[in-house]
Amino acid sequence: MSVNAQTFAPISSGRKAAILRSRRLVTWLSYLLTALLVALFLFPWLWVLSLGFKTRAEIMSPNIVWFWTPTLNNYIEVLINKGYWRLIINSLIVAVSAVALCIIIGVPTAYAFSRFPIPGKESWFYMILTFRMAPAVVLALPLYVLFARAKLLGTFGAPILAHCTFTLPFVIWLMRSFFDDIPKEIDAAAMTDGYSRWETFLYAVLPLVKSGIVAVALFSIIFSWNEFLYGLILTSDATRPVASQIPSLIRPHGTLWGEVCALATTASLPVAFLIFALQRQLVRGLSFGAIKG
Amino acid sequence: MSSRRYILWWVLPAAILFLVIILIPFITALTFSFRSFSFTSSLSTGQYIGVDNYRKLVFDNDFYNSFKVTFLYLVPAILLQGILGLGMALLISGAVRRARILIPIMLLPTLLTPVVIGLIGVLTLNPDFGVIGQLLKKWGLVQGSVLGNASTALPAIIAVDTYQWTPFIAVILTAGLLALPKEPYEAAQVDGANPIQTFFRVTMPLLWPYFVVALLIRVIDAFRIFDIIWVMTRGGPGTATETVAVYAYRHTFRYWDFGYGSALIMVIFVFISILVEYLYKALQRWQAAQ
Amino acid sequence: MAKITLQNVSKQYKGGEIQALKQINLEIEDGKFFCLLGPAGAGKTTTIKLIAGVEPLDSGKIFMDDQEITDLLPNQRDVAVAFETYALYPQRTVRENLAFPLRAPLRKKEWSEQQIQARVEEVAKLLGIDDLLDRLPRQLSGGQRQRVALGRALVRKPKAYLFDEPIAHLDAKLRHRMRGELRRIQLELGITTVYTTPDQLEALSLADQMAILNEGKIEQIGTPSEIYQHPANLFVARFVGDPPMNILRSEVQGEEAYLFGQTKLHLPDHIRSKLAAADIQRDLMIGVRPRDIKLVAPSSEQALLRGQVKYVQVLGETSILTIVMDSHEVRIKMNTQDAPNRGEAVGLNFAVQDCHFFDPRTELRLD
Repeated sequence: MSVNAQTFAPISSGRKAAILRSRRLVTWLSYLLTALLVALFLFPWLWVLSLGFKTRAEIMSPNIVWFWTPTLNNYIEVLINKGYWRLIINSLIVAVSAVALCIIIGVPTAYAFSRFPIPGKESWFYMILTFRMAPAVVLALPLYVLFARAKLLGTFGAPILAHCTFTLPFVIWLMRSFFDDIPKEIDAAAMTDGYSRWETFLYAVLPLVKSGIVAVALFSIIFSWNEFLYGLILTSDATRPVASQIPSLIRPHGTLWGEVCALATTASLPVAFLIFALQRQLVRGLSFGAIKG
Repeated sequence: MSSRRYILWWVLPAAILFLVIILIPFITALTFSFRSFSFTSSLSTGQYIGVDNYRKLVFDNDFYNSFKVTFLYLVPAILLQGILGLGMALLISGAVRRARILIPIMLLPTLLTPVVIGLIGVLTLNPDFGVIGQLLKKWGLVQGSVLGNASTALPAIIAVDTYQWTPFIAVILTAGLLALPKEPYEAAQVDGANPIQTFFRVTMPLLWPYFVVALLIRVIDAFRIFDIIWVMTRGGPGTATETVAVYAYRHTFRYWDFGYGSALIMVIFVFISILVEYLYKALQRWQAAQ
Repeated sequence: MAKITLQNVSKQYKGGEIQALKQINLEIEDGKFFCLLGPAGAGKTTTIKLIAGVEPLDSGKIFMDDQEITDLLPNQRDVAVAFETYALYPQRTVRENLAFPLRAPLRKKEWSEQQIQARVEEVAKLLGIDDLLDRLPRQLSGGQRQRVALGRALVRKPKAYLFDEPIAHLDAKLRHRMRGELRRIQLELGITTVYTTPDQLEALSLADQMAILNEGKIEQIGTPSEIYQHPANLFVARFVGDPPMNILRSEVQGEEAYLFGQTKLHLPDHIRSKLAAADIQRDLMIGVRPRDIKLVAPSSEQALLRGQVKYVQVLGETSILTIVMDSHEVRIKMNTQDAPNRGEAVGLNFAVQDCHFFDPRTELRLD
């Protein structure tokens, strides 16, 4: 490195103020650009939302209508008159049941993976991750055949069990990372305090990962809610979740766009809500716990 | 803690569920891939034909096409998202430090129901009334429908995918940027490095592991992408947007060809498991580094 | 109350990379206060964890009284542990932390809610944390947390207390008080106690029996006075005692040992016979405690060694002097009022019966 005289030259107070001012300007400029960027990413979604509140003529107008009187007709028509509110309930039944089942079954397993010398631990985890990352179509066909044989097709059991194929690996994987964050001394202390392994898990460790469990559950509900393929092929009209129904409403001709958008909006609002509820854990959940978010 | 049998009880319920809904179906698909189903019923067990399905696969041009499409989608999408995501992360990290709420807002496209994202694509690109489709038509960039044209359908899907996933990469890199240690920067400053040198010599190496994980997840996603394509083009026009997952779907649930469909599934699975191995190692390295 | 016995206990970490304990044999008598003394990394914490059962051992056996407990779960062993890392339950208040052992489902019938509250307050008062009962661990200082950890062990009356450096993070004054309290409680209850510390003074002042641990091996077991007066090897000689024992290298010629070539020391008979048995021809390590060395005039005939005062470190009534001779240093401890000034020439005298003799090759004590 070279040291020149300038490095040591005293900075005049005027120059200092100028540097500070330009630095502040850069900061504000970056905030402004950030705001613009956020707006850019929200705009398409908000635009689609807006279509749900427009009449057919307003939607199809070749000149985009920016100001209009919002109407709820599309919502009334699609949710109540066509009875699609059932789809929302179906999504809820499938997502909540699958997640509840996987949490109850997966959390103790994650704890075991975090604490016990399980033979082949890393291979199991690799396998769990592989199935988690495989496309739905890999298991969709055999599940369809097996569920048909078990006479589960058309019942809620089929989509619930199918959703467990991605929820269970996710719960085990992410919960293990939460358990790994809890020092093993806590377990040691509780066990010497007179608690059995199971009691230690229940009374000493579980309370410490409460927020982690909530995060994993909410994440899983989002993934389940968003799932499309299993919900399409393993269900009947009576048990189909909303996400699986939307594409069938889009037809080559004469699609009722207002109603589709109204239904899509109804389907995406719970997700938007959950994303905000998850704020703190988002990064961790999306990167499988590799990054402590 | 001493007895091994005791551990079994902790994992048994999960192991049973895993066996029933994942392993047994997977093995079923594996056996299907060696069978032929002349008439399709879920109760039919088909006929053993050895590796004929796999042999057929070797000469299947549509199969190669689906891989070609997958890569034609994957490579530009990841380059685009990597670069845009990095730029976005550098831009927003300062603001995110002040306002954490930006993270959930940014991630809305990533976590929103993919079917709805596909719908957003269909509607915004609609040539008659879509906000973007209209502009493209007015400027003469596209004749007629963007999604109906074989040369523009895949770029449109890449664009929607980029809309969906750039924020994901940006947010993960932002998390990385916010977690960067201060010391190397002070050292760089002492050494008299300019901002560009600092970026390439200090920021990028520290950020690299975040990049690897984010991009690997995206590479694997390329083999999973289905919902958005299904809503936007159903793999068409022709086979222009038929990625591997869409192609496997065509054989399983449209032609109901259980045997050949299963063989396709197995090939996809092998690809996924190879990619996951890299992802797994990247994740482990990460956790070790922390 | 129970006797604790460790038989050939070994423990490795990280798949054999770290050998924490090597074939440890230990007998801790019923009702005794037993100190495990050793430097950091000696295996003290590992020993505590193995006795508590929170980690499996690789080989060997552990007994409590005459029952083998090697494979018993920690909650079946009825021991109370104060962990060096505190291991407090972060989401529970101090009160809940202290009550936690009493609320174990195992003891549901033993303790009523009122008894629990009374016991918690009693222990909190004893440890001087009764005004912190409704705080969370993260609102406490390190010393306060350590007292909570200690309290969580003390609320019960188990078969044995296992304390892992339980007062290391308290300030000096409080540490002194707590040391007294612990000893008093232990005497009152008569509960077998295993106590680890890296501080030899603490071990010497507390223990009925003590063991010195170094690199996973036991160097010596005995009462504090046995260990102080008859250190079994050079490690113990150097580790116990403050300032540490002076170790002087000498050359043996016939019945005499020469120190720095200048001083003849007549070796006692029993040492000479040991020398012959150990086949020691020339080198012999001689240890003298700083307080066993007396100052004499350098010209005096009594002066075995002669040197110059390099430092004087005044510790109130006593002072520690560092004397240099050639390139060697010897430290002595004496009354401050009698201490010479820096730079003065002095003569040193000590009695042969105060010397400790060690084999330089095996580093073991000779007699």
